[in-house]
Amino acid sequence: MPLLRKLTRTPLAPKPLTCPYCYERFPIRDILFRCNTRMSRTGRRCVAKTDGILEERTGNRRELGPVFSADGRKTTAVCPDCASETRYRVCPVCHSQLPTQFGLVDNLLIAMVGSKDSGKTVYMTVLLHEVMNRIGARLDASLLAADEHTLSRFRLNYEESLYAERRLPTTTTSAGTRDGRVDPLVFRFSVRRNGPIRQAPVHTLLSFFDAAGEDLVSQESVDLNTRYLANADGVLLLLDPLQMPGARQSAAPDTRLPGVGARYDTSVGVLTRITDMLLSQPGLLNRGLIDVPVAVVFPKLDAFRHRLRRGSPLTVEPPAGPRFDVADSLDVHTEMMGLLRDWDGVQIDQVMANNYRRYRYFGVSALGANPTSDAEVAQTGIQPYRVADPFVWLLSELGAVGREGRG
Amino acid sequence: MTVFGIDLGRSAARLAWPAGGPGAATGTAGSVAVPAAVRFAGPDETLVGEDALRPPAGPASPAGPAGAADAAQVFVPSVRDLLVRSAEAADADVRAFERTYSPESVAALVLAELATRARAATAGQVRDVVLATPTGFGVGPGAAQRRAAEEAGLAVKGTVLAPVAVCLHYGAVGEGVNQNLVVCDVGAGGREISALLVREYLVDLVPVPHLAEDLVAAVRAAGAAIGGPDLDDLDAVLLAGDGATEDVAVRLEEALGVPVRRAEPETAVANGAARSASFGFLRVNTSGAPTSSPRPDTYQSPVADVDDPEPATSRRPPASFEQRIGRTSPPAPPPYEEPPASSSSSPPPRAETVLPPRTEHVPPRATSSAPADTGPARPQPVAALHAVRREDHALLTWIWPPDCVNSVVRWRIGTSDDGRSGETVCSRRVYEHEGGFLLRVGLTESLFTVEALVPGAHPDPGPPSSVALAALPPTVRYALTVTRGRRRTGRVTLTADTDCSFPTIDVVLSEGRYLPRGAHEGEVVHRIAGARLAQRTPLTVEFPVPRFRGPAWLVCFPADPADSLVELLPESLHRLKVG
Repeated sequence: MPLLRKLTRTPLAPKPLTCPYCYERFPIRDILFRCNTRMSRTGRRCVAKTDGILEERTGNRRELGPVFSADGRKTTAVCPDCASETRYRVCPVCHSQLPTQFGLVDNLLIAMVGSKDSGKTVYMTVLLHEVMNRIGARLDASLLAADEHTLSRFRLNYEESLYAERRLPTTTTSAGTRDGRVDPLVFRFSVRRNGPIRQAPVHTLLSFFDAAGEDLVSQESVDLNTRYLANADGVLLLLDPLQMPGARQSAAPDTRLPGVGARYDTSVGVLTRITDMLLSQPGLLNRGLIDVPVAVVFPKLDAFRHRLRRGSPLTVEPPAGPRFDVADSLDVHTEMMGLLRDWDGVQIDQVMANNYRRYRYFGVSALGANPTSDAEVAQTGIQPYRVADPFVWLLSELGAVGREGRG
Repeated sequence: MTVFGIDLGRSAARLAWPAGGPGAATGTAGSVAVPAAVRFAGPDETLVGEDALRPPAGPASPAGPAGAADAAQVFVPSVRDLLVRSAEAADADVRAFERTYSPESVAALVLAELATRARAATAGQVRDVVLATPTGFGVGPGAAQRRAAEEAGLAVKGTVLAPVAVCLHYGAVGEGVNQNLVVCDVGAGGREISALLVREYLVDLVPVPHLAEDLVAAVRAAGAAIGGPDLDDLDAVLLAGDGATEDVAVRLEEALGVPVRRAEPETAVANGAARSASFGFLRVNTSGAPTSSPRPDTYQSPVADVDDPEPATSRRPPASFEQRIGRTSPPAPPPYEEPPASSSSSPPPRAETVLPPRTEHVPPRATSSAPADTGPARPQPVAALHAVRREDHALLTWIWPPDCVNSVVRWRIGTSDDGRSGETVCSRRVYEHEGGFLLRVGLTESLFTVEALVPGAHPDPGPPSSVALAALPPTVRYALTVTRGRRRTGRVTLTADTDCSFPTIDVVLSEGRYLPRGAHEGEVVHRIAGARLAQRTPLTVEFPVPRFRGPAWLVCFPADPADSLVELLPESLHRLKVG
C-alpha cells in the first residue's frame, strides 16, 4: 500500500469533509472564504456580483462578495482585496456558504430515497416538524435550520404548506430537469449528552436530500443521484406498501392508492437500483456488504391499522424515553418482516439481508389518516405515528444520540 | 388525598369532609365552621371568626375604601360580601392601621382559620379543596375566592355551584334520577333559592322569577318555574343553610304540598362540594335555556305517589356501561382487528348517554388571535370525534371549528364503581403539535366527551360529542428463554394483569427466518395445560427443546384458538427468536 494512502487511513489524518449542499468531498484546508463586502478599516470595499460557480451549481444568482482562498482550518480570514475580515466560509466546489461550525462538529448527510408517490416529502416534513417539537422534547434535542435558505424554504414550502394550509406537496422536481442539481435542507441538530464530567450539548449538521421518485425509475436516472447517495452517512429508504400487490388489497377502504403503470415502479425495482449503485462504490463495502446504515421505512401504516393484531408493536404507544429504545425497535423490525412477507413476499428482505450490513425496518404513518381526494390533510389534522423512529435509529447508529439496550 | 368542600357563606364559612376521609379513627363525615368575619383590632392584631364578632374595645369602623380608616379598628362582617364588592368596585381594598389588605387576603384569613380548625379536628392534612360558589357569584368574585383559598395554603381542585352541591349532598343527581327540584339555602345573611331540572348527570339551572319577601311565596314561585303553577311536576324542595330549621321544613311542606328534604342542612353545601370531587361526570347548564328533554314518561317511577320520595331514588333499573354509552357490548374483535371504537359526533339519545359536567369555561389567557368581540367562548359539540386505542393509551381526534382555540375533554376510565374521571382544556396548538389528544387509559373501558369552546357560539348547542373505547380482554403475557448447552431447556413464564384462566397452550418451534404465523408453521414441542393464573403471579414451565440449526423461533399459540377467552401475547416479539 502506498505510504500516502496508508497515512490517510490513520486516525490522525484529517477526515475529508463533505459539503452538505453538493455532497462533494474535500479536505478542510480547501475551504474558501467569501468577502462580506462591508467597508474595511482601510476604507476599501469589494463589489458584490453574481458568482458564476454558485449559479451553475445551485442556480443561485444573488450578487455576493468575491470568493478567495485562505487557511480553511480557521473560522475567519482577511479579504486580500479590501482587507475586511470575513466569517463567510464557502464550499470549494459549489461555493455555497457553509454552516457555522462546519468542519468543527460532526457532519451527517442523510439521503432520503423511495419510489414515486411513496410520500417522501410529506414524511420528511412531518419528521422534521416532529424533531423540532415533540421528539425534540423527548430527546432533549433541538433542530434548527443551518442557513437562511433552509429556514425560509422549510417554513414556506414544507411546514406552512402541510401544517397550516393542509395541502399535500406536489411532486418533487426531478434532478434530471434541474441540470442534475438537488437542493438539500441543512439543519443543526443539538442534543445534550452525558460526558465524563457534565452534560454538554453535542452538535451535528444534518443534510436532508429528498430525491424525486422519478429519479429512481431507471438506472440512468439513479446515477444522477450517485454522488448524493454514495456520500451519504445514512439512508432513509421509503418503500410504499401501497405499491406492493399484497398490501394494496388489504388496505383500508377509501385509501388513496398511488398510481400504477410505466411511470411508477415496484419497491423491489427501486431497491435493486439503489443497491446496484451503492455496490458499485467500493468505499462503501465492508466484507462484501454495504456498510451505510439504511432505515427501510414503510409509510402509510394507518391504511393497515385495522389489520394489525393486538400485541403488535405497531399498535402501541411508542416508548418516550430520551434514548433510542433498541428492544422496541427490534420488535418493530420483527413485526415488519412478517408484514413484508404478506405484502410482497420475501424478496425485499432477502435483498436487504444479502447486501446490507446495517439495516432495520420501520413502520410509520406521517399523517395518521388518509388524506382527502383533493390531496389535503384530513380535517382532524396530522397525527404522526413513529415517524422519528428511523431517524433516531440512524442517529444512534452514527453515534449522535444514545441508545437503550443492545442490538 | 381527601378532598374537602368549602362553603364560604355570607355569615359563616364551613369546611366539610366525606365519610372515610381524614375523620381519622372514626372515618365518619364531619365539618368545622368559622364566622366569616375579620376585625383589624390593632397594628399587629387581627381577629378572625368569633373573636372578630366580639364588641370592640376602641372605636371601630366598617371596612370601606382604602384610606377610610387608618386609626380606628376595622371590622369586616362578611368576607364573602367583600369579595363580591371587589368585583364591583375598584377600591375594595381594606385599609387599617396604615396597611392595605386586598379582599382576597382578608378572605384568606378566614379560610386559613377554617383549615386550621379542620386540621385540629381531623388530625390530618387539609390541602385539596373544592369551593362552592353561589349562583350569580360571577367570574370575578369566583376567581377572588379561588385566590383567597390559594393564599390560605389550600389547593383548589375545582368549584361547584352551591345548589348543585346541595343536590349532591342529598344524592339527588345520578344514574336513573330525573327530578325537578327547588334548592332553598336559608342562612343568617339571607336566602338563595334555585330551581333545577336534574336528568341523571345533566343539571339545568332554571331562572326563577323575582323572589318575594315571604319564603313560602318565593319557593312557590321558583317551583312554579319548573313544576307548573300547581307544582304538580315539582318533586322536592331541598333545604340547606343554618336557617333551614325543622319549622321551616314543616311550614314549606304544609304550604306547598311537596316533599321537603332536610338532612344536616347547615353542612349541605360544603358536604356536597366535597362529594363533587369524586362524583365524576356532571354537566351543569347555567345558560338558562334547558338542554334536557322533558322527563321521559317511560321512566316514571312506580313509587311516584309515595309521600316523601327520596330524590336519589332511581326511577329505572341501573343501566350497563354499554347501555349508558349508547351501544351494546362489542363482539369479540377478530384476531387481526383492533376493537372498534364507537363514535358519535351528533347528539346521542338523552336517556342512553352519560353526560359530563359543563360549566362556563373561561378560556386560558389569550392563546390566540381570536377576535375578542365575538362574545364569551361557549361549549359546542365537535365533529368526527374518534378514539384510537394504542394498547393502554387512547388517542382522540376531532375536527376543530374555525376560530376555536380550546376544547374541553372529559373522560371516565373504568366502570362507574371503580372508575376515575377527569377533564382538561386542550389547546389547539398542543393538539396540532402533538398530533391529537393522548391519554393513558389502561385496558378498561373508557368514555370521552369533547366540546369545543367557540366564541359567540349558540348558548344551547346540545350535548357534547362522545366516544367510547371498549375494554380489552384479559391478557396473558409470556416470555420465552432457551438455555444453551448440550441439552437445551426452554422456559415459558406466563403472567396476567388480572385473575384469569388461560387455555391449553402449544409451544411451537419454527425453524427459519420468519416468525411463524401459526402452529402449522412449526412443531409443537410442549403443551401447557390450561389453568388458573392469579394476577401478577408468574407461572413458569420448563420443557426440553429439540435440536435445531440456524434461525429458529419459539412461539406460544392457544391449542384451540376458538376456545380462548384471554389474549396470549408475547412480552417481546424479537426475543421469540431463539436461534
